[in-house]
Amino acid sequence: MIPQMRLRPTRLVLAVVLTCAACGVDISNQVLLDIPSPAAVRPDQTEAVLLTNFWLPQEVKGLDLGRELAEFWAAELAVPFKMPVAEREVKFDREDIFSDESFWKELAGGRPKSLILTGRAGFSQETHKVLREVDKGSVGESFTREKTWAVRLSFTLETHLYFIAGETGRIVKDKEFKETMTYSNPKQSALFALHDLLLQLKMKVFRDAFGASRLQERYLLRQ
Amino acid sequence: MTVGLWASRQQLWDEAIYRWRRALEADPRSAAAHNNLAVAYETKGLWEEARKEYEAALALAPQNSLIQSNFSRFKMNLEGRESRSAEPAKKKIP
Repeated sequence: MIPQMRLRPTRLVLAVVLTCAACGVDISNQVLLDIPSPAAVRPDQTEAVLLTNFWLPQEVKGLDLGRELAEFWAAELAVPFKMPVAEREVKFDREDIFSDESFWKELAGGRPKSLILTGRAGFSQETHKVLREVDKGSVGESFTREKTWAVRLSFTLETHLYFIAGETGRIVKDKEFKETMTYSNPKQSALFALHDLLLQLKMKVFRDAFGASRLQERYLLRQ
Repeated sequence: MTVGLWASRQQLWDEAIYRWRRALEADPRSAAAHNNLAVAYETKGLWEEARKEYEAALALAPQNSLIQSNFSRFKMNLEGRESRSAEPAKKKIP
């Protein structure tokens, strides 16, 4: 005669819980959500935008970096702010100028709801050689590969941007960016590379400053 | 809780918030409900409310790595940093 096993209800529940735990039953949901980021800069609450020249610690040979940056940002900022951007000339002669509230307040005339974009920038170019393996076709049953040197041209844009409230002279958002692009064309124009980098940078700056949403992971729990 | 999860999957965040608030009324010590509410508030850009709920969830379940991970990513988002570098959850708490 086979003995019958009977489990009491409490033991049954315990057994189920322990089995679930042992099997790793998922009690959480990992989800990808479109979560907004807080906006440091609110275009809808801004009535005037001022753009200064950039502090350029090093001149860039064959490229008017200051002019290019000013033209790019004046055009790009006019889009989200829906207004023309006024340009101001600043003489950068000291490191702490960006945190000098009275200086920026005076530059904006203390105008309420005005915003200043300023910063520091550097642009550099580097040539380097890379070893590449190139297929030389097949001879009989074996493929032959040859190693050759190839030239690569890298451009780097480093910038520290500051958004400053004109009314108070206080920094509302500042961030450092470093963007690099490498080209296989050894004759790549520095001007075109700068604009490639600026477009890349613009996406990050706008997302950071205006708080665009982006997909982020979170866990939702079942119990 | 389950209806809230279903609503969140449909992106019905107001409904999800309502459901998880109800869950909290029934069981104020539910860390999961606090956590889920925090996530819902985040999706609506209600940062202060989200912070309070994460803090409440962590007060109830300080060792829960999933809530810790969420809170860490929440703070990174507020600081404007990429959440990719957030510490991944090491294990799921049963």
